[in-house]
Amino acid sequence: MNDREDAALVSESLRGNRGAFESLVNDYQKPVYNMAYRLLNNCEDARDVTQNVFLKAFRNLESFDPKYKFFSWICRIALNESINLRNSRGVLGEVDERVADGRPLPDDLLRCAELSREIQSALMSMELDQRAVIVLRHFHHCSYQDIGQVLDIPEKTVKSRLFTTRNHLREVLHRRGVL
Amino acid sequence: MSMPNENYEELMSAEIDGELSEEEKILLDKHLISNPEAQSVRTQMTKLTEALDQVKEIEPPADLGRSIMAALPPVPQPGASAVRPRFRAARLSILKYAYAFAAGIILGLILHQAVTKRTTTVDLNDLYGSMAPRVVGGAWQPADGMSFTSDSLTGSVQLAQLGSTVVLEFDFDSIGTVEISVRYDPQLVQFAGYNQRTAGNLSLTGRNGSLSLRCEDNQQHFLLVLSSPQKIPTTFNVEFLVGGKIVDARTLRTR
Repeated sequence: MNDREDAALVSESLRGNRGAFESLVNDYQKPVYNMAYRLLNNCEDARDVTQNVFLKAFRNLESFDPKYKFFSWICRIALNESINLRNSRGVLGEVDERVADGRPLPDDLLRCAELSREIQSALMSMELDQRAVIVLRHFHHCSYQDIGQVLDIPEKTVKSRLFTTRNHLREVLHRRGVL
Repeated sequence: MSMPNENYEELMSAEIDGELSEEEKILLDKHLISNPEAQSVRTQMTKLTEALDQVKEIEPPADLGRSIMAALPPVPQPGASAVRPRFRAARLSILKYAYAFAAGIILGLILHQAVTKRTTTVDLNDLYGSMAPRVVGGAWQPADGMSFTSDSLTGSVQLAQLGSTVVLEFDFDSIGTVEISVRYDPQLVQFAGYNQRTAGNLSLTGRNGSLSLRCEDNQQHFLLVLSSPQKIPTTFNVEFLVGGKIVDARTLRTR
């Protein structure tokens, strides 16, 4: 995923080359799906958000400014779609059926799955904009500048929000005996 | 030069991101040498980063890319509706049939239970309508309960059981967001479902032996339904947090 290649694929897509847009879908569907899942904690919602994100991106390709990263642009659409979906729902959250039914998992898988679930559960105890900085920084390895572009906030705010959110996450996980 | 602890913690956060200047690094190192509590916070911060790094990416559904491409209009059309009506209609239609099918199954189960008079499984009739009096009276046996009154939280939790089914009924008013943790022995108890009695914003996540709830509205009334197949006395540790601080924590017991 290279910025210049992405810009070229966007240009090709605007010229009607569906294969070019398909390449963008193939490259970015996984990060977009993961971002939506981490923000909404629901696979079906993550799927809906991902579909809508690419539909919106396709319809608004002309408004993409190549001086920014395509990934930042699409993440911003994903964040807005997640917020819209979250606001339209009264109830959020799902329980991993595999664990909820009490069946044991192999030790290493269980440890890793439990850690992921603990982190996801702790993330869900925070506001969506706080969750977003953690997701972008730790799961998508975005720079402060990229996070600022996605969330439309100054880099200084990114820094302070990361601090507040990490601190909250640390306290929650420490209280639960995970750290 | 001395700073509040919070500022040092902010430096630790920046250190994780490799965003510390030389000056800040020296300042942080000095503070850490003379402050064991800060060292412990830094260790936790490092562990947190390692834990976050271990979170695995989730594979999207295999057909996602195909369905995205299939739903696209022929050419990019600026300003068009964000959701393609035909695509949405097809999904809604499938959902409609799915809901009708699910409703049929639930109705079938209710009728089946009514005919066979089984009392050891969840009676779905008892999970809808006005639950409070039925839990205490009716077939449900009250086992334990707690009530709480504080500046930020007022209400109660009732634990009731019927055969191998256990219900925790939460009914409370709060100021601000409330987080609830319910812990139990996963060898004895399994989560079966939950039911909201008021249309509040409630999120639920779970793992083996532990449920975490987050309630964002002032009034909440909901049920957690659990299954205890061995029917032996067991305990539930219930913890309420407001603003990240524990305001009440009790242990409730079945009989």
